[in-house]
Amino acid sequence: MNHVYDDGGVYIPNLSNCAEQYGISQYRFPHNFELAGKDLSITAADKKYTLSFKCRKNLEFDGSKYAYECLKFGPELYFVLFGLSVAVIDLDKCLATLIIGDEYVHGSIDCPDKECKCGCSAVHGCAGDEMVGTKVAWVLGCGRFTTQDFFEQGKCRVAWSPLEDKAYEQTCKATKLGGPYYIVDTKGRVRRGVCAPFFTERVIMLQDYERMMTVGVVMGKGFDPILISGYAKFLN
Amino acid sequence: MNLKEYPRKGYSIDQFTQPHCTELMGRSFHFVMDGGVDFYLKFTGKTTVEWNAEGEEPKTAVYECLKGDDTTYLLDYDLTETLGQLDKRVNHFFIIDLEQRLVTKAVCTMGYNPRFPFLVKSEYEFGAIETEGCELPLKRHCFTGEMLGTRVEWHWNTEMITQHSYYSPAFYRITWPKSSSAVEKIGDPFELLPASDEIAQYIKIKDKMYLFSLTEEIMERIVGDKCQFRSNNMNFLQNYDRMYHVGRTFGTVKRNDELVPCRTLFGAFGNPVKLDDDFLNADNPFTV
Repeated sequence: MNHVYDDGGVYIPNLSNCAEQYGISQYRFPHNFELAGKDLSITAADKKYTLSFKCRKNLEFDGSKYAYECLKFGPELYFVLFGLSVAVIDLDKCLATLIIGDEYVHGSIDCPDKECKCGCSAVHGCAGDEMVGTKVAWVLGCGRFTTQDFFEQGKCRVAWSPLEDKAYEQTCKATKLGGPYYIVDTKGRVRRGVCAPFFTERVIMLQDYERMMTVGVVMGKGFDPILISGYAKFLN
Repeated sequence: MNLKEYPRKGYSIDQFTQPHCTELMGRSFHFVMDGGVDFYLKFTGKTTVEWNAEGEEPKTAVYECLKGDDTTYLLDYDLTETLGQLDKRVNHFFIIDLEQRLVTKAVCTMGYNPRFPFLVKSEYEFGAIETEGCELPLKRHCFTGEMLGTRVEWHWNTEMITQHSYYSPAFYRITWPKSSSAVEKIGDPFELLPASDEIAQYIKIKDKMYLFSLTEEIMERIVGDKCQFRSNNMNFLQNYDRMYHVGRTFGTVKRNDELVPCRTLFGAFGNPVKLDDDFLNADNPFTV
């Protein structure tokens, strides 16, 4: 609990705080454990991948074990970080996107206990130029935010507070999940003195333009991936 | 396209709501309540639960569940047999704290006051969660004064901000910046009141996590049907570690000239805020 003086010099407790210890992960949602115990078989083109969520902390992906963290983002939509890889899992539509290094795998999940609602042939895919023209700030904690200006397909101007006026042009890969959901994957450095770690190299965000919230991960050299959550403010 | 133009629906306090949590599905709980009558919950599905007090037959209900942190759940359901009676509804509300094996239970009741039938009365009870192989904990969640002095700004949606001052163990005070959509969305009835103070309760769940509960009782008593909201009970599970809250409303609202249940899950992101001294130091006109 932090304390401040009022005008009379009396200590007044104030629970409200900026959570310096969490930095850009301050608003991170609680972990979600609904996938624990589930085995997902993902088919993409003629390849099959298996994601087995052994418990609340560990999963197996194609025979290798990883610790994982899961954030729930929609009624049956999950953002999963395992190792340096990401899985976006939509159990409602039985679709998944795996981001393994630079490789994207858009597949469908075998859901034997569920009627497929997506028409079976649809998978997540490239968003094309759908996001071009969008300028948005994502607030990830008290006074900590990143701005994204999707000015051209495949490119994005990215800045971080408190140097939000000093953007870097970065490569940007946008994936459409259907409805208001997009995966945005930006690669590039950040300026010294911003709220993101200096060695940040990549940010992968799952963005919801209906509820205007995001979850995601910040990755780079010399630090563990940082899970983030936050809300949006449009800049134009 | 500029996704600012995405054809989203209009939101009030529910835009930043975190998703309903179903991870309690398949689990059963035995709450050893300090009032002497134990309580049982059995999660039979993603939205269905069986509940009963000791010695009673189980009943079914449709539940809502949100998480305040990795191991703390806000759970509530309306009693199915009261759903058809607008001013006789009953809501069961719980904070299930698996880290400390503790529970807070509230029974929220409408229709007990013949003059103001929409008023919501909340009766709180504390208890522990029985866990095989473990002794019952001695500690309990408890009413607290630890929140007093806290001033916080809550961002409810992309346009609505409210600012709360928790200054009394029985009241809180609310305002908003002029740029907030709260001015037009919820501001008008407050113009009919001498102050924005409202009845509230504060319960400590754990360090930096509190249940803040308000009931729009003063609003109902003074403004009545001039306000579209009729005595909402709003329970906020506030996480001051992460600076966000999740919550639910239980009350009545007028829509298209018809009174209907007001049941909303909500959530907001917090920020420290500096409030005017005039606002903070004003007398509460509703107390002696």
